[in-house]
Amino acid sequence: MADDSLVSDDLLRTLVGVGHVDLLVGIPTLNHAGTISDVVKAVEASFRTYFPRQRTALINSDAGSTDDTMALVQNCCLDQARTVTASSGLRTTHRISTPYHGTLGKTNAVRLIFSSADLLQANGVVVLDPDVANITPEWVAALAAPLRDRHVDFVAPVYRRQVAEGHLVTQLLRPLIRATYGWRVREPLASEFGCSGRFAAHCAEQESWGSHDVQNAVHLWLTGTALAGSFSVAQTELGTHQLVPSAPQQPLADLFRQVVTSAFAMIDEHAGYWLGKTEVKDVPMVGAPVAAEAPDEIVPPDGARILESFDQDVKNLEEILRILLTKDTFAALTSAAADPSRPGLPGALWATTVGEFLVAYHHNVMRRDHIAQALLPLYMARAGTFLHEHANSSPEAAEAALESLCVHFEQVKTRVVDRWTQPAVR
Amino acid sequence: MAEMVFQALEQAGTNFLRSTVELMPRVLMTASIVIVGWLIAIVMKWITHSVLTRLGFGRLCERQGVAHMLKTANLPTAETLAAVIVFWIVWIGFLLSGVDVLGFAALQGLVREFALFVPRLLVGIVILIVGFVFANFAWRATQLAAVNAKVPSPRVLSGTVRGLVLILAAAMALDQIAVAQTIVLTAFAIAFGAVMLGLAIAFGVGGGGIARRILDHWFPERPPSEHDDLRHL
Amino acid sequence: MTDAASNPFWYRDAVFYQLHVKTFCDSDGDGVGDFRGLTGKLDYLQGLGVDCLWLLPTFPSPFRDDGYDIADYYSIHPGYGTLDDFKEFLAQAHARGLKVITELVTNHTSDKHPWFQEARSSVDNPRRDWYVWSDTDEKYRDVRIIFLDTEPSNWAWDPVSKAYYWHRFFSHQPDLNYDNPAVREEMWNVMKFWLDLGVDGFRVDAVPYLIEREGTSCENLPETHDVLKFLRRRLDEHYTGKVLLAEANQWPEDVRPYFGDGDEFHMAFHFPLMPRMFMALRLEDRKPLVEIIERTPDIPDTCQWGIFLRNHDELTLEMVTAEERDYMYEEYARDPVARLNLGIRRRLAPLLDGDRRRIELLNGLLMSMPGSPILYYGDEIGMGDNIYLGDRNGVRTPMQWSGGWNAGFSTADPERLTFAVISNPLYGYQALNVAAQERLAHSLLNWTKRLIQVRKTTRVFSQGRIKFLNPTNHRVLAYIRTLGKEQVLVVNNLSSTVQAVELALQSLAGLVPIEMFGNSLFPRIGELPYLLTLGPYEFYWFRLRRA
Repeated sequence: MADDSLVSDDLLRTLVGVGHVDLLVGIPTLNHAGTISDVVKAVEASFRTYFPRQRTALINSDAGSTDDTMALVQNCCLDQARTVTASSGLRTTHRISTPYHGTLGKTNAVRLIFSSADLLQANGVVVLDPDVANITPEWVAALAAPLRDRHVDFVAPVYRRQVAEGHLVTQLLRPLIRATYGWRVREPLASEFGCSGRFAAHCAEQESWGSHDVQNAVHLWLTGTALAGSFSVAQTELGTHQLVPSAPQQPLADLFRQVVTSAFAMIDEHAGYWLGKTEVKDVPMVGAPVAAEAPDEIVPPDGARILESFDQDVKNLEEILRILLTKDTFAALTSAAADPSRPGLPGALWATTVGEFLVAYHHNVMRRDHIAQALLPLYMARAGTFLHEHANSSPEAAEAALESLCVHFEQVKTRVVDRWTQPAVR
Repeated sequence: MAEMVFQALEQAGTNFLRSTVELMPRVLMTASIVIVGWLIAIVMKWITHSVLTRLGFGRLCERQGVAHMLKTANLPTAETLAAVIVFWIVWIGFLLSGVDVLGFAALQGLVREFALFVPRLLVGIVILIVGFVFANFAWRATQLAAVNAKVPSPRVLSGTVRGLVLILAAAMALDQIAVAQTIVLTAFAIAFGAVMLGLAIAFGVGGGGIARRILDHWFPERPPSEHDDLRHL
Repeated sequence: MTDAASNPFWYRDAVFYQLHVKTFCDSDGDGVGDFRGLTGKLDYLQGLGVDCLWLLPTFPSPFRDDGYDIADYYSIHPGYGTLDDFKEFLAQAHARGLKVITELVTNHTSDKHPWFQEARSSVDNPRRDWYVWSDTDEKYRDVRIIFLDTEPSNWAWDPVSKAYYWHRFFSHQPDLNYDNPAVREEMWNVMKFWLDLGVDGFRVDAVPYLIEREGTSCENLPETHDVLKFLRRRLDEHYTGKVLLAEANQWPEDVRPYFGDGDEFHMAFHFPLMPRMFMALRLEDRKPLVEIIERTPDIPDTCQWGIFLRNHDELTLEMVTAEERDYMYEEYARDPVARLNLGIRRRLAPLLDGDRRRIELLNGLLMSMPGSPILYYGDEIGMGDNIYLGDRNGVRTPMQWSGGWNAGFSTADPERLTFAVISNPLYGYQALNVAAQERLAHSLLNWTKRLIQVRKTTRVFSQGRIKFLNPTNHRVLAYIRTLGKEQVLVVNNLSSTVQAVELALQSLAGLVPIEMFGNSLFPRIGELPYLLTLGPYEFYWFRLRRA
C-alpha cells in the first residue's frame, strides 16, 4: 500500500465520499489562478464528451497557493455544468482541491495524486500541467483513452516541436534515454502524461520518492520507471506545447543540474535493465493526432554567438574535464572547441562526451552535482551547434539531424557498457 | 699525589663502569622498544594501507581532488601517505617511550615537551587536510559556477578562492601547532592587509587607469547570456 | 380511506394499482380475464394495501391495440363480461374502500367505431368532421411519428372516402377532431356515462395530441388545453372527488400546463422520472434523479404527480437525451428484441435481473419520492415477461396466482390463452406466484405490503416538500421530506457495494432518527456530520423526532 502520509484526514474523508473512479485527472498547482479555470473547463468538457459513462474525478494538489486557485477549482464552470441537461453528463463529477504537506515541488504533488488514485482504485490517471496554455479536452482524451481501451500502463505525449525549442530534450534527454533504455520515447520529461492505476500504485510505493534525484525531475523518473518495469508504454500526439508567458522560469544552471543528476541517477538505478539491451524499439503511437493551431513561430537565436564561448569554457574547465573524460575525448573536445573554421560540437563527439560523463557519474569520480554542472557549457555548445546548422532548415531536415544524433548516442552505448563495470579509468 | 690521582681515576673509572653497567639494561630495553616499535609501526602501516584501500579511501580523495594535488606535488597516494603517517606516529611513540626508559632527565623533559607537541601537530595536520579538501571543493565549485554563469576569468577566480582557503588553513594549522605564532600572525595580517590595500589603490588613490585596465581585463563587459535566449524545455 | 365527500383530494395520498382485466383473472374458463374474476380478487387487492385500481381499456374493440382502439365508448367488451358485471365489480371495490379509475381514450377511436364508419362513408356525413381529413398527406409535415417501428406516416389513405385521415398512433386509430364542438360534447357524454355508474375518475390517454395546427409540433397546443379545461369544468360542475389523470409523455415543465391553475388535470404522470430511477441505479449515481426532480416545477396544491416504475407500455426513453438512451439500451436491453418504439418492453424484475435488493430499492424510491405511486400488476411478486410476444404484450401476461393450472389465472386449456403464462425456470409461475408468496413471511409480496403500510403511516411522502442533501458520496441519494412539522429523512444506497456517507444534518441537530420499518432508535443528530453506513442497495426511512 502506498505511503499515505501526504493524505490528510480531510482529504481522506472526501475520498471516502468519492469512492471508486475510472479516471482521475490530477493538476498540481501553486498560484495558478490565472490559468486553472481554463484547465478545469477543459477537463470537465473532456469528461462530458469523451468519458460520459466513466466515473471521473478531478483532483487539484496544491502547494499552498495564496491566490484563489483552490476556490476557482471548486467553483468555476458550475453554471455551465448545471443548466443544460443535455450536455451535463450522465454522472456526478467530483472536484477535489487539497493542499499537500511536505516539501514543495511537483514530486509531492504527483505523489499525492498517485496516493489518491490508489485509494480511489482509479483505473486511469492523467496528470496535467497548469502552466501549459493550450490544454484542450482532446488532450485528456488522448492521454486517457489508451488506458481504458488498450490497457496501456503509461502514455507519454509527443509534441510538435520547432527547431528552436526543447533543446534539453532533443539534444540530451531524448537520445540519452533512447540509447540506454532502448525505447524511442520522444518526450521523457513531459509534465503531462497518463498512466494506469496499477502503475500509479507501483510508483507510490517506491522509496525513491523521497530521494533528492526524484524530487527534481519526477516526470523523468516516471518515464524511466515505466520503461524499466514490466509496464506497457505508448505515445500519443498532442500537437504543440505552449507555456503561458507568466510561467515561472527556473535559472538554467539549476534546471540543468537537477535534470541531469536526476537522469544520470535514474539510469544508474536502472542499469540492471538496460545494460544488456542491444536493440532499440519504437514506442507504439496510439490515437489520432490532436488537431492544433499553428503556434507563433519562435525565432531561433544565433547559434554562432552561443558558440563563441565554447573554446574558453573548455579551457576554463580543463582540470575537471581531464578527470571526467578519456584522453582522446578530451583532445577531440579541445580540438573541436578551438577549430576556427568549423566551430561547434559535432553530434558524435557530444554523444561520446555524454557517455563518458555518465560513466564518471556511475563511478562517482567526483561530486555528482559537479559532474552535471561541468556538462552545462558543453550542452550549450551542442545547442548552439544545432541552431547554427539548422536554424533555417526545414522541419524534415531538422528531424533527420535529431534522428542522426540519436543514432550517435546508440553507437556510444557499447563503450559505455564496457566501462560501466570496470574500475574508473582515465 | 700520584696515588691520589690514580685513586681518583680508579674511582672515576669505577663510577663510569658502574654507570655504564647500570645504563646497559636500560639501553638494551630502549633498543628493544625501538626495534619492536619499528616492527609494530610497519604492521600498522600495512594494516592502515589495506584498510583504507578496501574502504575506497583513494576514490574519495580522487573525488575531492586531493589525489590530484598529491600527484602534482609528487607525493605518494593518499593511502600510502596516510599509512606512512601512521607508521611515523607509532614509531615515534615507541621511540619516545624508549628514550624515556633511558631515564635521562634532560631527555625526559624533551620527551614531555614532544609528547605535548604531537597532539597539536596532529590537529594541525588535520586542519591542513580539511583545509586542503575544502579548498579543492571550493575551487571546483567556484570554477563550475563561474563558467556556467559566464563570469569572466573563472580560473583566476577559482584559483584565488582556493589560494585564500589554503592560506587560511595553513595559518590556522600553524597557529594550532604553535610554531612561530607571532610570525605567522603578523605575516597573515600583512598578507590580508596587502590585499586590501592593493584593492584600495586599484579603485581609488592614484593608478586609477592601471586599476581600470586591470579590472577591464579581468572583468570585461558581460555579454548577454545565451542561456536566456534558448527554450530548453 | 375516507370517501370523496370528506376528502375530495384522496388521490394525493393514494397508492394506485394498474391492472389489465384481460390478464388478471378468468372466471368463466374462456382464457380471457373478466370482471367477475377481478371481483373475486378484490380481497387480495385490499390486502395489498392499495387505494385505487386503474383498469386498462375494457371497451368493445377489435383489439389491434389491446383495447386502446375503441369501437364503443358505452359498453364493456363481451369477453370481459357485461355492464352489470362491471357495476357489481365497482360496488364490491367501493365496499372494500377501493376506488376505481378507467381509461378514457380521447385522442382517437378504432377505425371500426361506428363514428368513423359513418365519417368515411361520405364527405357530407354529419360525422365527417369528427375526424381530421385531408386530400393530401402534406399537412403537418414536421410532426414526429410516435410508433416509429410500425408507422411510416401520421397520415393514412382511406380507400373508402378517398382521402387521408390523421392518426398519431396506429393507422387503424384515426384521431378525433377536437376543433369540432360536437366531439367535445360527445366525449363529455362518455365521461358522464361512466361517472354516473360510479367510477372515480379516468386515466386520459394521449392528451397532448388532441389538436393540430400547421407549422407546429401538434403537441401541447393552447387549444388542447382549452379542450381539457372544458372537460374539467363539466366534471367539477357535476361531481366531487373525481380524478383526471393525464398521460402526457413530456418534460416536467411541459407537463405543468396540464395542471392549469388547478382547473385542468388533477394528476399527471411524471414520465421523465421513471427512466432516471433505472439509470441512477445502473450508474450508481444519484445525478439523473436529483436533476430531474430539481427541474420539476411546483404544481397547484390540489394536484399530484403520478409516479411509477413500470406500466403496460414499454419503458419509454423519449424524455431522455440521446446519450442517456444509448446508455439505457446498452445496460438494460442488450437484446434488440427487447427494444420497441424508443423504449424497452420489459417488466420490473427482469430489468433488474430478478435482484430482490434492487427491486426493493426502486420500490422504496417509488414510495418515498414526491407523488402518488402506481404499481403495475404482477410487479409486487416480481413477475417476469416474454419479449418474444409482439408489441408490448410481453409485459401483459396472465397474473400468476398459484403454481397450478395456468397459474390459477384460468381453467381454460392453456392453448386457449391469448398469451401463455410465464413458465421459464427464472420467473415461472410454478414457484413465482401469489399463493407461494403469501405463505412466506419475507416474500416480496409481503415486503411490498409492509412497504405500503409504512408509507401510509404518514402523509409526508405524498404531500411533503423534498430537499436533497447531496453528500459527497454520489452513490447515496439522501433527502428530507417535510410536511408541516413532520420530517422524514430518506437515505438510499444506489450502489452494489457497502457505502459510508456523512450527512450534513446540523440544521436538524437535536432530533432523533427513528427507523420507520423497525422503529429502531438511532443516535441523536449533533453538530458533526451524521455518519451512516448502508449495505448494497439498502435504504432507510427515518422519522425525525424531538426527544
